[in-house]
Amino acid sequence: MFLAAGSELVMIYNDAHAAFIAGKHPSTLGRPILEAFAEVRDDLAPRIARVLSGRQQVMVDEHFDLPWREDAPEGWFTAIWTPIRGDRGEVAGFLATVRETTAGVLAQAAMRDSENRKTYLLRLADALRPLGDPVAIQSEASRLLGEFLGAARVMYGEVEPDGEHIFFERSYFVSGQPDLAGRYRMADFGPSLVDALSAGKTVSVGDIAAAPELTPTEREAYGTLGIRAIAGVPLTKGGRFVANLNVHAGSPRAWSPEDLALIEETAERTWAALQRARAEARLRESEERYRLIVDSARDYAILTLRGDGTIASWSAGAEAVLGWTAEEAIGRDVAVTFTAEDNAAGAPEAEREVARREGFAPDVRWHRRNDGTRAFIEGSIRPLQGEGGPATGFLKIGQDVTERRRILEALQASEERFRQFAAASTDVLWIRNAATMDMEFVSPAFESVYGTPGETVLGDLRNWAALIVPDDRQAALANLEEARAGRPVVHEFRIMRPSDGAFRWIRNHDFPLHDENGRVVRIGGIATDHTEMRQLAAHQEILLAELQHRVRNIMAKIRVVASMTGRTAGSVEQYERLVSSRLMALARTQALLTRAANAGVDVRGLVADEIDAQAEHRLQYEVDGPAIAIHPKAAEVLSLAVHELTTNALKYGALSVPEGRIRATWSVALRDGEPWLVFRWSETRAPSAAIPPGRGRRGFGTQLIEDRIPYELRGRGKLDVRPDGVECMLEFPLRDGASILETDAPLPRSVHGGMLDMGGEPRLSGQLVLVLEDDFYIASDTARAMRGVGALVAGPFPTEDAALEAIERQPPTAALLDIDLGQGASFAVAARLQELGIPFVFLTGYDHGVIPEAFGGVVRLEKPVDLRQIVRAVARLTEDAPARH
Amino acid sequence: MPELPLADCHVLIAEDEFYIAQDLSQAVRALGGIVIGPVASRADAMTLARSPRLHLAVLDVNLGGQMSFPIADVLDGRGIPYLFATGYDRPVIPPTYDHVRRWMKPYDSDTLAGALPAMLGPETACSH
Repeated sequence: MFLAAGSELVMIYNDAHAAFIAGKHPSTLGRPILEAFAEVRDDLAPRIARVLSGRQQVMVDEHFDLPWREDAPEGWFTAIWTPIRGDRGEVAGFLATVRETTAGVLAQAAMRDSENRKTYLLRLADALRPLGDPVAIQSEASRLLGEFLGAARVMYGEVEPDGEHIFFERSYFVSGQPDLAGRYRMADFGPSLVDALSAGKTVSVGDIAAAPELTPTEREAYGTLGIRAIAGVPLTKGGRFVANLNVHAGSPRAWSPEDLALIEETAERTWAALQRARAEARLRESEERYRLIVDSARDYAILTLRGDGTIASWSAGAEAVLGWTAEEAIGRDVAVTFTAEDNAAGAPEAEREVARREGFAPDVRWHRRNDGTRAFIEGSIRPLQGEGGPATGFLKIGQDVTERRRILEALQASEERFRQFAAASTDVLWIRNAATMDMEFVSPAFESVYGTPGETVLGDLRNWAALIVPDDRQAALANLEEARAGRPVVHEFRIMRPSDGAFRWIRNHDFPLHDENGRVVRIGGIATDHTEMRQLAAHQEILLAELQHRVRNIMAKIRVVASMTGRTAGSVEQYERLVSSRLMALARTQALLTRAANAGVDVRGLVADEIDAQAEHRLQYEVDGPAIAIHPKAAEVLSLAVHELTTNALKYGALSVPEGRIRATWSVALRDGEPWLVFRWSETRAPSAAIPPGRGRRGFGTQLIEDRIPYELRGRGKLDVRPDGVECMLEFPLRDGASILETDAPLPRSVHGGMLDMGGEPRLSGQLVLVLEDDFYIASDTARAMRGVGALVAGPFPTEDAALEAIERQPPTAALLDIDLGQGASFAVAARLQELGIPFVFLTGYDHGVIPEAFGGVVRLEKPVDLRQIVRAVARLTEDAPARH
Repeated sequence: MPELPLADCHVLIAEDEFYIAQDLSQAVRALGGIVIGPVASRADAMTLARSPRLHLAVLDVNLGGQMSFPIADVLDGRGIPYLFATGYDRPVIPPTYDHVRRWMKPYDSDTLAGALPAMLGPETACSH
């Protein structure tokens, strides 16, 4: 307690009060109060004024600065200041009873502080919880902390993965302070700060201006930014410094442990909130992606089922594939998507049962669509596990492959059709790869056309080209190149058929096969054996020429008939009648002759026809003779002769009167061992008076019978006019019937094989000829030439080793050796053959000089060698040596 | 009276059609020629082609189904000019006989006979 009295308010106090005054006592005793406590005069003066005005001042837990008390420069006091009145009632001073309540006040304050912090943390939690945006979380946390601490700035920053930069995305700052958000190099904060933070230690500086741990530069840098106090909390996660929460104050600040703890807590919660937000964002993103995938997989029906088979979810793809909307589908039994047959068979349940048991079940079947049509779906069903528990549902994923299946079926059908077509075709269908020229496909007909199994020409182009005779090979390959260049070609070439050595003509249609970009990827072709067609065409040509020839001859004959008749006819009328009837006879013969090619003409029919053609006198004549066919020329002459005789008989002879008779007979007789036809015509009871007088020139008929028969048929003819009618005898040799188109023009019966054709060359039957030659075509052509003359061929071998091995297995009777097998001249095989006494010839492109003297006597054939020359050379080699095989 | 163009010329006629042979023979004779033949077969023609007095020949290419080229060869060997009469349109005549004139049937016998004298070389006379 103290008393302040008098006009100067001189203080007196007791011992207890002296303790408050501490260091000031005793100098304050007896001194005026405002003088003694000049340091807090501003604080005291108003209170003193109020008590001097006569009112008692009651102060409870009031704050006072006590700068003189070093250990506690402030304190709280409960005091009663009571005015003291003088005699006249005036206020002469006051008495103060004072009790220090600092301890109580502080304890209360600490309790209140703690309550505030709890409230703060609750608010922080409430504020951050709904936030999903990391930036908002940082802003909000910074703001709440800044306001709570009354800080100038709060910044939350994250250390970047490089460990060297830190990014403060947002900062809280009071107005008037600069916004320091941004990206910083950590090293710029100064080593002391960074080292401490990196080590996971919270850093606090109460007064930067007076901080000895900072360099002057650092102090100046902070000062420039208006920062006087700083507290920095590091966040270390997984042993790594990941984030930093900084609190700045514009004036010195004593950071209490509670402050720092609060900052640390805020940092942790901000971190946690950010982690949560980011995880949620990732999840959302992943869910979004998943949803996008599920929804955009339009070919895939994706659906989930509950345990009982009802549909729980239904993707857009499911709608597209099966036709029900999600609304329509969800809640229905998945059985609606199964066909009636599958439902009857219990397929929906069976499928789930297998999935439950095996963890997977295929679902590959026709499904039913909403509109009743069917879709073929290839998919599966899997159980959806609860947390480690039994299946709570199922996931079904299936792809609509209806179209693909349809295409596949069409493709299979098309392939089958092609296969059948190719198998049934007697022509060869083939396909070659345009890039490699390899044969990829040949149809079964290949073997019958080419005389070697189709497999033998698959692959390498040369397998096929070797079958072609050397003369035609280049042209055939050139044509194939044409097709490869995109131009369809038709060409013919000869092959030597391996099966029988025959030369055959092949007609090949080669055509380019394009891909969708128009590039030639394959060459297709159809090959036919054209040999017979060519022979037939050649024969046809000859027949046509023969026909032409024949027609011209007939024209010439008509011309002669016309002119000869002109020499004997008495009048134009007679001429007309004679010419026209002779031409008719000629025409009838033609008809007979052309009725059947290569067939002879029956004498009986010919004679009867000729008589009948002019007269209805069947009862007046008789024809008799064996059935004999005569050749066309004879038929023509004979029918004209009968025509002339009949004409004459009608006009003057036996047919001119009813009682007249004709007898035509024939028989076959031998003349000089050759069969001749002997034909007789005799008339009886003809009116002798009607026989025409002989004329100066021989008549057409007489000439025909007496001159033409000997000339054309090498026979004899005699015509006698007797009193009772004409007597005629014709005879001529019967030749083998040749057709009207007779000719000895050669018919092409075989194909010439060009340089491979060994017709007329010596036969080498029984010889085994070894061929050593590395040039593919020369080797195969030589081998075929050898086989063409009946030799057996060992090889052809492309290497000496292969040839030597073959010699040991079975010694040949002769050999053809190419000296240069690509690696210079070599004579190992020649030496071995010489040892064995087997004759051989060299095929060489070399000068004789390179051949060792040991082989000086060996025949050398220089390339290019005619294949016949090779055959002859081998034939000479083996003339002396007997065949061994 | 001027000398006939084929006077004393011996002309072989090988033709298997009787009437054509007769017609051509008459035409040759009308120009003073002496007909050797006519013959219808290749064998007969071959015999006559070797007869010592022969100046010209007319050969039907097809004689009763046989080609007359062997006769042509004999005539060529003797240096006796000849011509082919043929009904063939296409060249059945081998290129060896490209130098031989061809008369397409049907021909007019008088025209053909009239062309024969020109085939005799300027030095050739039929009189010996």
